[in-house]
Amino acid sequence: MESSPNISYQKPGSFVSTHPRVQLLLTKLLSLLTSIFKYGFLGALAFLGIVPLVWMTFSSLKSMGEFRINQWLWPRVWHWENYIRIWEGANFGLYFFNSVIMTATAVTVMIIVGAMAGYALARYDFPMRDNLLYYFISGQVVPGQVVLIPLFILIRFLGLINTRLALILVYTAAAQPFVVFNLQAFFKGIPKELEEAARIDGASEFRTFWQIMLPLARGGIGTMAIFQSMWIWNEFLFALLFAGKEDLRTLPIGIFNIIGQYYTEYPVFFAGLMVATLPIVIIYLITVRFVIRGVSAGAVKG
Amino acid sequence: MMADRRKWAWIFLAPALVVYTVFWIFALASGLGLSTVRWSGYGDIVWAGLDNFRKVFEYKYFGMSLFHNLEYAFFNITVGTGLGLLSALLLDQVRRGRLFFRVAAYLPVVMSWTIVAFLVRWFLNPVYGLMEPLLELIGLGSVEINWLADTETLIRLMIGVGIWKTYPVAMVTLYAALQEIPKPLKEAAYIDGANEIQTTVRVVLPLLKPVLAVVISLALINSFRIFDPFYVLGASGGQSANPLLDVLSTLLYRRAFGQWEIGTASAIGFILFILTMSVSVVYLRTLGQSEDA
Repeated sequence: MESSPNISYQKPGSFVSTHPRVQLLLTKLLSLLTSIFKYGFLGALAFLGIVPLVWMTFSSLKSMGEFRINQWLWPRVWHWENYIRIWEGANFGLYFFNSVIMTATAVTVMIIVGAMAGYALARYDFPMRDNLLYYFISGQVVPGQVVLIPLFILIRFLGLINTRLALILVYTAAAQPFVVFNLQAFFKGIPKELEEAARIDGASEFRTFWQIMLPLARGGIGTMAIFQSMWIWNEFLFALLFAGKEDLRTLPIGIFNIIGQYYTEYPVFFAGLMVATLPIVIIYLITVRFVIRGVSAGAVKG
Repeated sequence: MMADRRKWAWIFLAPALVVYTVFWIFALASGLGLSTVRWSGYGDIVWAGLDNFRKVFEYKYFGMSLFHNLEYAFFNITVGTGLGLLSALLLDQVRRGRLFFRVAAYLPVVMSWTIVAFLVRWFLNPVYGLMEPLLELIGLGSVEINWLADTETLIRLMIGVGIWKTYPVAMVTLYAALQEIPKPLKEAAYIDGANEIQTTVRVVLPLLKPVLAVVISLALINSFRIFDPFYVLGASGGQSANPLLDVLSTLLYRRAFGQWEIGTASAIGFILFILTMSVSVVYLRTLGQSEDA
């Protein structure tokens, strides 16, 4: 509701004409200016969000010669072979494969493990249940750097340095506070009738969980999986320490290690950056409504 | 039957409980414990009491690293949250393109810090980078500064990029909170003759307070944790790490896995833990209050 301009009231000594038409025009002009400002401001922020990606795409498709003289705009000749060169020349195929494997296995494990715990906390009644929930949540605020040194020693002790299993274990542990809390809340919201019907039909506890409850929770699980995938795909600190060996390197670690080697050929290197960025951006764009709802729900509910 | 069901609860809990306890909680406890020993990661462990903390405080790069974290936190909270709040309020007032603006602005959050940090390095490259042409474009001419050698500028630039990469979380969160505010409340204010700005300040902002507290706490915690961009910026390209670009977490990393000073590195970790914990306690308390109200 816009408050209507008070045209009958004349301010003493006002320089502005109080003729109703002029007043109306001024109000309109003002609202036009404010909406130009609003859209301009938001548009600028959106532009800043998009432009690095677009620029990176353009740069990855230029020849080195063109890149030197045409830094800002799209390529005149599109050099798609830059992607083939980085894929074959710098082990990017391997890094990509490692990133996919790492993300897929770690996310699957952390979600199955977390869903089981969340289900137990949501549906079973036993002493210390609330304490256990707090126990899980409390790990959320622990910074990865603080546990990094003991984790390294522990994993070395277990003989798991430079194995995928080490990272899967660490990622699973680190994700439990977030996954357990959210899935526990999600399971609580599912009506009990179906589950009870399954029990009456004689299904075992595990089958009830696996075949009835897990599919019912797929909304919550999907949102969790998207968030965790984004995290693991870009994760740097733990991967740097536990999978530094060439044949285990994920994309961020691979890129980090070849910075410097490819200084002479920027466009090819930018193709590499695109290989690391595009998959996650595409997943983000496909699932954007979940992501944005998830971000807001996460903080609003604590 | 009851006992049988209870047994199943523990079976379901077991994997999460074991992995989380061993690889997170136990690791945390031993990390705090390691701050009181002298150890190179191999061989004998020697009890050192609080000596590591004395060493850390005397270490000449510690104060600077902490200062970088605080600088990052300060700008992230003021400029970053401010930008998030302003854009959320504007988003709430426009009619078209709300989803588009959010989706586009949120893109940097999805990108990897490693890649963003590399782009920053490249941006500043004196030969191929865009900093020089950009300065020429706005009429400052060629200044020919070797930006990559100027660590203070680099830190500030990284702080700016950090804001660009994290404010959308505040924006999306606050925007969602704005949608929860009942429309009649705002309309009542308009009917009483308040304009948009007055309504925002007197009616909307007080209602946003609890969410704002959450957003600020998370920004603070993340400012103490920040690792990737400073590590990539300081250590890539085959150069030796530049201690002038350190924040607490990179200092810890290089102390531990570069110099193998497990004790002092763990002491830095302890300090990092205390910093984030104190923020979290304040944050949980505000959450508790907002739930009581």
